Amino acid sequence: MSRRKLVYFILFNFLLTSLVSCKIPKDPQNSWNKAKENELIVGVVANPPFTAVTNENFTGSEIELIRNFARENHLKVNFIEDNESNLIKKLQDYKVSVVIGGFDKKSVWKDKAGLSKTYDDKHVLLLPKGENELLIHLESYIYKINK
Amino acid sequence: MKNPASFELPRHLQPLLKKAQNLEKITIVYLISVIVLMYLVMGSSQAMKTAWLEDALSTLPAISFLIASTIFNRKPNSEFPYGYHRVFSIAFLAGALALFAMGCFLAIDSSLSLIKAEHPTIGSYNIFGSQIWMGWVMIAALVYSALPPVYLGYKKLPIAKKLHNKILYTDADTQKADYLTAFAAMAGIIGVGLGFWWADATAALFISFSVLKDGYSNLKNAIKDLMDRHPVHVESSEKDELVEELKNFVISWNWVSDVKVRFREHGEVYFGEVMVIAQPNTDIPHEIEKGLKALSNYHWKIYDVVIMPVKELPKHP
Repeated sequence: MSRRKLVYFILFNFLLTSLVSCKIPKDPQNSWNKAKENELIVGVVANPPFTAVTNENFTGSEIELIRNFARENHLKVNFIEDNESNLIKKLQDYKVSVVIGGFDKKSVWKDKAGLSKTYDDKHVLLLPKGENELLIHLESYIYKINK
Repeated sequence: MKNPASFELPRHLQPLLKKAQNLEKITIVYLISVIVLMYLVMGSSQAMKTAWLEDALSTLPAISFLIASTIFNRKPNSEFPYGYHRVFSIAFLAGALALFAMGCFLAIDSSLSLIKAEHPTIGSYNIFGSQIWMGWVMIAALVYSALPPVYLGYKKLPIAKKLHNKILYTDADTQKADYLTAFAAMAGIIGVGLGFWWADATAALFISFSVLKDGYSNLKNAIKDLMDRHPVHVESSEKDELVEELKNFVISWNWVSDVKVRFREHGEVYFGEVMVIAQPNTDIPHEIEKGLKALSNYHWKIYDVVIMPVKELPKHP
């Protein structure tokens, strides 16, 4: 085996082990770990039928989606309501981990937030950019409900 | 002067040109597959975007070589009395300029992405029911983009030296080192996977500088060739000793008492003048005819020569 082949072989094995161990990807700002240790803070923009807020009571299809996701992963959820620009600001500061409210995959917030896969071919959840571990867990749940 | 029929490479080099053309065709087809694949998986990674643009750019030398190699051997005519050899030098300049400009753009773009602290979001794919992080798919695409060029580069390099063809040489030389940029991009993606958001833009910056460096050195070489510098070797940019040998050859003719030669590169071949001081009582036209014939058989690269009898050699070197 030539030296180059050996390097590729080692690299390939490295990739394979990493893949199996599933430690990758990690969040630069620890969103997933914080959600597990404390709670998942979800920003809600009222937009029925995806999200609705009546007397501190959160309802809607995306609220249900998040609640089920949290139950599955043993997370506590804390919903907070605000307008879009405030919540996006909080998302950029990692003060909330997810923003929901019937956002389209072509959302104008594309540059400021990370987008999940669509859960119904059109709508997405917004995440802080680069929080890839949280994203992979959310997408894993999305794939599951779409099966 | 040589009969201005269409230029033919010496017989032993003709199959090499054909082979080089075939290799470049394979290169283009392969690169198109890489470009499509990388585009599909690149996502929002800056390193992937940079590596993708670099791959897209690396089709340029192959394309310009293929186009130039159908033009360079056309017959000289009243409009182009020196023939078409320089098309190679011009193609080389165009490719170098594109590489340099893109290197500048990529370096600025990657720096901005680093300064703005862009955190690349890399999601996942659902392939046959199992979830796979897109980073791994990107790395697989990068492996595909890294290995074949090394082989193609090693195949083209010796041909480029024999043909004295700078575009082909540059193409081969950069391809041979192309796996480095792919590895840099991989390191960037793995870094992101480990939670270091800056790894992506840093890898992109590294790739940009390698593009910029290649672009700069090619641009410098291309401009120097078009400035009619002394012919140089393709691989080392050192003066070709063929010119000095030719001078010694001319001075060995018994009718010549002193000589000065001057040559420049026109693509693969050399054009130039030989100024001679003849011994008294020489039949100059007859000797020059003989001399031109001898020079045309001297080396295939010595292509278009003028022998000029003078009373005094020019002073400049």
